[in-house]
Amino acid sequence: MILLPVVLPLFAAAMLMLLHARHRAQRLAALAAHAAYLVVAVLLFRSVLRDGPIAASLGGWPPPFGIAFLADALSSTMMLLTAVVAFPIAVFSLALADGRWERQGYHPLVQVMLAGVSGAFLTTDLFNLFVWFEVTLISSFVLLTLGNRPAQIQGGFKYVVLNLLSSVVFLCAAGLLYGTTGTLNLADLAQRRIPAEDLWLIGLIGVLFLGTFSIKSALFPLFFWLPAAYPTPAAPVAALFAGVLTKVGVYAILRTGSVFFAEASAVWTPALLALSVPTMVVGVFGAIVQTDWRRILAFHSVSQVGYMAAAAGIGGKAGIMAAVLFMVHHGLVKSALFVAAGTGWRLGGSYRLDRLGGFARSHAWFAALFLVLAFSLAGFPPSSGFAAKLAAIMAALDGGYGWIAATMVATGLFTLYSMVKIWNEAFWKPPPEAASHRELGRGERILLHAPLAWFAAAALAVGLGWSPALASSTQAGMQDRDAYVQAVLGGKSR
Amino acid sequence: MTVELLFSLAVGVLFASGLYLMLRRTVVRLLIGLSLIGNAANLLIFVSAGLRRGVPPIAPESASAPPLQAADPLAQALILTAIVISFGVLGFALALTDRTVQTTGTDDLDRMTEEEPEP
Repeated sequence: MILLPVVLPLFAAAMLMLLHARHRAQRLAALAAHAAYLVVAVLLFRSVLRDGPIAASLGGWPPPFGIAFLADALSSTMMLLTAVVAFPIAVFSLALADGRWERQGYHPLVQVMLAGVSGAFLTTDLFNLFVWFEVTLISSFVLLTLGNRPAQIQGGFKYVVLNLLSSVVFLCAAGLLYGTTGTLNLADLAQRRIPAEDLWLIGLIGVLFLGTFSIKSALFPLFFWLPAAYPTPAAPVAALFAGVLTKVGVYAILRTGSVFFAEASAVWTPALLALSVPTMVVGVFGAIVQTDWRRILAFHSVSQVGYMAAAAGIGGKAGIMAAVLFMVHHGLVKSALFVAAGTGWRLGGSYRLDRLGGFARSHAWFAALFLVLAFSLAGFPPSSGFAAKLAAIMAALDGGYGWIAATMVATGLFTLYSMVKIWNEAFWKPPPEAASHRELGRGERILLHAPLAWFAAAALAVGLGWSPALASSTQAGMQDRDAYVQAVLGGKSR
Repeated sequence: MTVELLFSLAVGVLFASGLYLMLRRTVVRLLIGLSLIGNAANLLIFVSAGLRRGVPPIAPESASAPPLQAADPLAQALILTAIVISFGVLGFALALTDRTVQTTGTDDLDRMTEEEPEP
């Protein structure tokens, strides 16, 4: 059961490769694979919430010697988020697919990426986490450059180099940690007593880990690969990356921070807070000056990762709950806005806001759905953005970080400004003379609107209430180090 | 001890030269630097797990565990995994570099900032 989120996409990838030449069959099979993944994620999530964490040791080696997988509340929430985001994007990709991506292997690669992401969420071993990161990365490299346009190649180059560098840092950190403690299993690490003379070394290794995770989640000094890379790929790829990939980095910060670096929090808390404030500010100011729909969204992703990192750095019950809630919110809404950008591109033939216009008149449903999602990103009630931002700001105030709360509020204001800018340009103003305009067929209209409706409904559902239950249970599963250790090492396998 | 010092120095030199090459403006140097740093990381794992010669981690028939001073096989397994992964990734990076140079017509990183507005 617990291996299914990894095995299923890998199997699907192999099957999809067999269907390489038959585009129609491949598309349907890919959709079926996404649906199956969604079902597995929902079942796993329910089972974990009802009966507690599920563990599995691979190859029959008992942990900490072998690699163990553990689905606890946090990992199953992240997997559910991935599935809920990936499925509508698969539907959306059907509207845009023209056979070109299929020839270059779009569908199998997405499945491999899903497998890598699930593995990263499930594993309890730091080196295994590195391996899953690499699985995710290498498929994302290819997806990013699918189509070979010059902008993609240039953005992809920055993405590849920065991520390779962060992988090397990860490797060094894991090696040093193994040399110091003799184990890489997170639960085993959590229960080790670190001798006092080694604490400085652990702190140093913690900084290395924080460095690599902050590159992967696009925190302040090394964030520029994200706005260079995310606005360039095919529309569904950008949506998938925006929703899922940066969350893997934040997840790694949360996971290692709560289980392993509880002692090193003297280093992590100030470091995360110091990185998160400039991340929020630089991201949102970067977004303001952009005139390209997807560039605005990409810079916002950076800014929003700052919120998550700040909440994770504040820590404690409220901070971690806010971070998880923010990841769920941002995964849904940012993917949705990238899907909306792709829809705008389909309708108006451009991502440049000065070449678009008049969607509010010509496509009222599209405009309405965009409005819901944009307001959610800006943090209006009763959307998911309101719940997430409120939780983050409250956590900052409770923790005594008034200046971080103030930054969050100000950043939210500027977020609203650039969402209004997209609205004014693409939806409200009359279409420019030179604008190309495409009429949609009936099937295409459904394929473009249904994913947006799905996302809008999910964002409202998260905002309207069952988010507190979800976040608090996730947090309950994480905060308790002993429970995690017990679940991994206790050999309670099902 | 001297052997460990020697290895540590080698790791340091590899890191330093890798970083130096990565800060150059040519893409090829950047890639060579990246692969040097990758090797440095592998060597780092090797050293940090302890350098021991001549005692393979094999349990004699009379005992249930290998001798205490045996070399640690896990670190070497980690390195092996890392080498395989970095080989694949570097292969992709090389192909991408080739494409980058072809599409931009330059191998100078400072000139690769032109932004293409439209798909």
